[in-house]
Amino acid sequence: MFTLLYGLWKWIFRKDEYFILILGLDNAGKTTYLEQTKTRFTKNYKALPPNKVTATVGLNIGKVDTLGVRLNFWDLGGQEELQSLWDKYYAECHAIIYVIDASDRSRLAESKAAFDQMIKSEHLIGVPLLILANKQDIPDCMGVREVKPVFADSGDLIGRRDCLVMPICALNGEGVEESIQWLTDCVLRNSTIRPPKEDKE
Amino acid sequence: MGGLLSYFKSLFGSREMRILILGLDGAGKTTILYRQVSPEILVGEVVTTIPTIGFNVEQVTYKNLKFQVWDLGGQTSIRPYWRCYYSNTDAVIYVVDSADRDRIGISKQELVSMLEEEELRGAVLVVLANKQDLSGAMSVAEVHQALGLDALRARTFQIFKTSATKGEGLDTAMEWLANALTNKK
Ligand SMILES: Nc1nc2c(ncn2[C@@H]2O[C@H](COP(=O)(O)OP(=O)(O)OP(=O)(O)O)[C@@H](O)[C@H]2O)c(=O)[nH]1
Ligand SMILES: Nc1nc2c(ncn2[C@@H]2O[C@H](COP(=O)(O)OP(=O)(O)O)[C@@H](O)[C@H]2O)c(=O)[nH]1
Ligand SMILES: [Mg+2]
Ligand SMILES: [Mg+2]
Repeated sequence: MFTLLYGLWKWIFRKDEYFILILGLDNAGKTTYLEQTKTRFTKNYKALPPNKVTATVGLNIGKVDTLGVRLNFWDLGGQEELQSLWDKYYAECHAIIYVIDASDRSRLAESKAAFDQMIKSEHLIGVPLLILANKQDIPDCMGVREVKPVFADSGDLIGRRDCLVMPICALNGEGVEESIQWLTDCVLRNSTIRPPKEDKE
Repeated sequence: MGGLLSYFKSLFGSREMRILILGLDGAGKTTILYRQVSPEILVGEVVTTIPTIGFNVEQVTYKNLKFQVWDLGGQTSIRPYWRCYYSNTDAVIYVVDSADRDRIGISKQELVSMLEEEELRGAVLVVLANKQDLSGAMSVAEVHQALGLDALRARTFQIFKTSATKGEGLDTAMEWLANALTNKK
């Protein structure tokens, strides 16, 4: 009887889980974006003040419940040495968020090269892709119109998949909710191809 | 206030927090605890308990923070005693000797089996790639791979390069840990 009830309880409260990988060069704003996302989607979340965010050498995780699903985030370090660790997560992720520092034109080519290296992985074929042009608060930063053609240049590597370039400001949170909304729609749409993991709780 | 403990200031006054400092013998744990974390703490506050033969726990309590240290590896007969110390652990500081490529495999096994403990499920993990002053020390990416950290999918962790004897890298590590714990206060 207990197992039956437990089974029923689990069925009612089960949540489909999706895994979102956040990548991009160091200093792009990935961890700041994740903190901002947690703050906006989690009640009573005590966010780390942005000035206390330090370079990631490891993994930051985040859980967000929205639109009836659970999103699990993996935020990795972007330093060159650490980029070799990115591909360990490709096979299990349901979407990629690629963050660029739109205020830093001098590193755009470097960011694009790391992007190409990532997106050509066979483990990521068809996985929805969201490119965030971050730091829109900084005057004279690159807007979507400037960033998009640079990445569109890799059209054949990107192939057929949901793909969008969005302007955001991770620091003050502008655009963060919209970005999560878009991504959730995408992973749901793509769930016949990459099915969710069922919540074990 | 003792050395690196100043980073934990924002945590003082909240509930008791337990931090384990673990790793193989010789990794540098004791050096970190006494020389770096608590150089100004009175000797009397440093307690060494030996609840059973062969099991040696070094312990430092400062306000509501409790640091406990023991060596992993070696005799399997004492392992059941470790469990007593796992409950309510907020963070694990895992120390490796980055220059000891021969034993990093054992260190990995110890880490993996420790993290399987249910009681440690919510603990934040800090890996100290210690002894970076020695030539041939493994890089962060090498330590990451050797310890199989990419298998950790549901735990926040961060690796720091340190030299406990020179006192390098520990500031950054403790500052990060204190911030990570503030979330759990
Ligand atoms: N002005 C501005 N600064 C930002 C914004 N987002 C992030 N930053 C700053 O950019 C710096 C790097 O941010 P992080 O979030 O640590 O970058 P990261 O991508 O996680 O870097 P790694 O962990 O090294 O890969 C920090 O100083 C942030 O405060 C933004 O929208 N506007
Ligand atoms: N070169 C070097 N030696 C270290 C470092 N940290 C610890 N040691 C030495 O390694 C030995 C073992 O250190 P100890 O703290 O006792 O390790 P424990 O067994 O993990 O507690 C001692 O001789 C320390 O002086 C370091 O960063 N660099
Ligand atoms: Mg980061
Ligand atoms: Mg010791």
